[in-house]
Amino acid sequence: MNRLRSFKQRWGILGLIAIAWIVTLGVCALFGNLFTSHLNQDLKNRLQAPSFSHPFGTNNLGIDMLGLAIKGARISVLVGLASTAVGFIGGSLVGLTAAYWRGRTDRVILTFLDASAAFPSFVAAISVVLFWGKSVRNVILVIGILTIPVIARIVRAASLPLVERDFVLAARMQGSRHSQIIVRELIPNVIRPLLGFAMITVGITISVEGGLSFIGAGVPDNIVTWGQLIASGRATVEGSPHLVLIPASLIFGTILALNTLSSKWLRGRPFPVVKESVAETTSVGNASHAAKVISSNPPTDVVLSIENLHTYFSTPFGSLRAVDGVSLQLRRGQMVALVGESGSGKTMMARSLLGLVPSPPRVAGLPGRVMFDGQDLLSLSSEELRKIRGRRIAMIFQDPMTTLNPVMRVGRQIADTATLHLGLSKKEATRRALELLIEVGVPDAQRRMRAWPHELSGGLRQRIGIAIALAAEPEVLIADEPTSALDVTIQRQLLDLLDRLRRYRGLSILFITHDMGIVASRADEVAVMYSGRIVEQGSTLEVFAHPRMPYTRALLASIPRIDHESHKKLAVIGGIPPIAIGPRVGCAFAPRCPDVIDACRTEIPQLVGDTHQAACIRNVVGVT
Amino acid sequence: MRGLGQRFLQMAAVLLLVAAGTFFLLDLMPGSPAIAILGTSATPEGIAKVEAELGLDKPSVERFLTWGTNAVRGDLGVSYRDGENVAQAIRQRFPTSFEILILTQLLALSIAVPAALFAAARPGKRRDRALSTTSFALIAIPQFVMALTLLIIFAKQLQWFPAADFVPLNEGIIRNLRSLVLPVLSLSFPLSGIYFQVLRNDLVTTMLSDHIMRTRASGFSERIILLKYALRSSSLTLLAVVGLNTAGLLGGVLIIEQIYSLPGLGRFLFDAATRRDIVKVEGAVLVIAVTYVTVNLIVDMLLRVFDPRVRAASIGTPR
Repeated sequence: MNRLRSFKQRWGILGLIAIAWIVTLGVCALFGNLFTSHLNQDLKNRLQAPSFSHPFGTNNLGIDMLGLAIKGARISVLVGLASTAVGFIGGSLVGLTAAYWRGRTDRVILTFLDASAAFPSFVAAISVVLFWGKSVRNVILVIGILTIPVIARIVRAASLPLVERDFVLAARMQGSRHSQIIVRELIPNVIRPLLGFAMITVGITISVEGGLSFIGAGVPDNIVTWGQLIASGRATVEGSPHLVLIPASLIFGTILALNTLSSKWLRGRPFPVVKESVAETTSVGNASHAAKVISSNPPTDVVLSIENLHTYFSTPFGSLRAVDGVSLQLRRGQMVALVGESGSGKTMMARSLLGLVPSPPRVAGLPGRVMFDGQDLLSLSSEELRKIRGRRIAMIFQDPMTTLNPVMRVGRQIADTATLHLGLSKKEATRRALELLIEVGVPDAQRRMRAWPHELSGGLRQRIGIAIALAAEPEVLIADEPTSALDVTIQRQLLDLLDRLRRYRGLSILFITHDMGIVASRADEVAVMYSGRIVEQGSTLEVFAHPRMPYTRALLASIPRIDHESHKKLAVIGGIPPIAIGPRVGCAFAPRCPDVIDACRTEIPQLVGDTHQAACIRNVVGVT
Repeated sequence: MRGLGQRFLQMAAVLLLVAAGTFFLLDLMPGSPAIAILGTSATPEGIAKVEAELGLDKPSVERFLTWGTNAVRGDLGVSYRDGENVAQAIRQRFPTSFEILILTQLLALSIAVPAALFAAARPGKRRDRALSTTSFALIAIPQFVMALTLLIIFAKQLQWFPAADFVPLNEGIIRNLRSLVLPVLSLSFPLSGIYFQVLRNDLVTTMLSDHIMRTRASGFSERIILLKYALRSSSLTLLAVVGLNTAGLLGGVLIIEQIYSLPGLGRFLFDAATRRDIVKVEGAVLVIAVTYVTVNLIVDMLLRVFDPRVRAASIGTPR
């Protein structure tokens, strides 16, 4: 019973109907001949509407339409399956060849594909069938060959990005044979989305066969298919529309059933449909474990105060604690660095502040507040929050290539933001954009206004990103790994720029990075994040001088230092960050910690300390 | 513009492939056109005489080259079968087919684009699912069934539109459009289903992209993001797909032309092909292919204007 229910849940009512339809169709196609050997003419009962004895009515010769429909299923399904197979085998070969060898091979194949699209292929199909002779085999071949270019385009488009992926390159590097790479690495990765498309193609080819029969270029007249039934019903369509409508509905139903199945089937797979995470909707029981708000009465110069923030995602394996009770304060003109490995939740935290988590941003039940200018950002409506985004709190992102709009000139992107928030005229906004470009140090700014993102270097693109963020003169800037993709020199220049902006504009910056080294001389405060929580925070000087948490020590030890001998090995933190799913037990860093004690595995450490806080049990129990 | 020369080279290659492909495909078909002219009772001597008159005794390649050089000059030859001037015959039919092509594309787009925007604004929600199902239903209805159904309901029973009574454009635009409503509807519905799918899927992906998130972080409203930023890049994908349908709509709508008795290129091509009138087939195919490459050149130019990435990438190997 249970399995039946989960089956029903998986497929839904529509899915079950579709399955029933396809199974019935399969039975009719395989065994239909057993029931339909006695289809006789009965001229007295010709052209009858559907009735009890003839559920589908009778045709112009008085033959039972239900019987004919069952009989027709066989060849219709055969044509659908076989021509789809021809199209897919041919199309995959062509498409994979083009994508794998690229270059000249690809260009030649594309020209052929273009030529086939420039050709009215339906008419070509009809003539070919008429010349070769009307037979089931010829119809299958012609429809199959017609399908090849369509499939080839799709296969090529699907495999092109894969060919450049690491695993294929690695296989090439190892000297695997081409055929081996294609069979082992490429085909398994393109086949899934294609199978869904193949199911739809089966339905469509059944319909194309109908079109051929309709024109008189289908299967021979003595073979029954649905298309042929429609074609022969056409003469009497006004008096007896059921002769056309019934076989037409059969084709229609089959295409819909196949489409329903393929979309449900694809939805159940992780690939290639991107699954969106859904924020947790239920209340979290363990909220009492969350860190205490540092100060219940924040000083007046605090601009942004994050208090016990939680962001959870529900996954098939349980809820993922991306941000698990983070408290952090940002003062006017201050730079706070949030440091952690990838996967520690720092990016999710930054996005949670402005409701940019890729699903309903904040759901009732999870504790936490983000106080800005006397209001809780998390409780604002999306419209109210929108007026703060970009206007008062702006963000810059890691990869300016993907975060700039590729089809808009950069000057326009800056000006648009200025127009949106400051209500500037087009001319004023353009002037403002130019000023900003100069301010963020883009050389030859006048000309660069009209540049496209892809024409600029990584460093320049990030300067554009900063200019967009500054367009509406925000008070707070959240910088999410803005320099991680850039080389060291550019990194330094951008950090200097941010430093200047902070000094002269009084901008408060929350700087997110995985690199302890680059925050050392610039941030006023450092917060170290691990597995969704802050494990140590304090003034940069204190944290660097006296790290209290082993994880912080490990991060500090991984910074290359000039005063060390050049051949000294850099410390590497062993193991990988844990996946924060399921109830929290003990310290999340315990499995990787060099100084672990038994208590670490059972007790959850809280942030303790006054201005310099750390979450490490050993600080509490006094073991140092 | 870089890559434009290569683009023209590719266009020429496409035209050559189509023309040569058609020519040799027909040439390789069993039986001589002379038999088709003289009937099955023709004597070998008679056949040889007719073949010599028509120049059919020369090698295929030579005949193709002669035909090709004439075609470049605008001379598409004269039919073996009825002596009709092919260029003139096509000129009579092309406007109708071209009008159907334009109207169908416009109608399909004006159905698909608003629907896709509406669906993509709330992906996965009820409106999105309902529209997706509807679009598949539109694709799933066989074209001839759609055409017949519309004909019976709106022309025969309700008599809102003429049935199978085409009025050319030069006899009044209103009457012309009225006579094209049903055929264009039959062609647009399935096409709008496809366009909806393409645009909706592209929009949903674009809305999840990093640069849209950046736009969101700048405080733009969802409405502006969808209409101004996402549509701008997603419509380019749709435009490319629209261009690919040119040839099919121009010369492949035989069934619709038959049902509504329209004097289009589809029927012309079909009649010529079944009667083995190579010169007519070749002429029609060439005209269709030229239109196809021209339309796609325009599409390419538009893509270059609106998508700088295309301009940067070398032609033929888009990434």
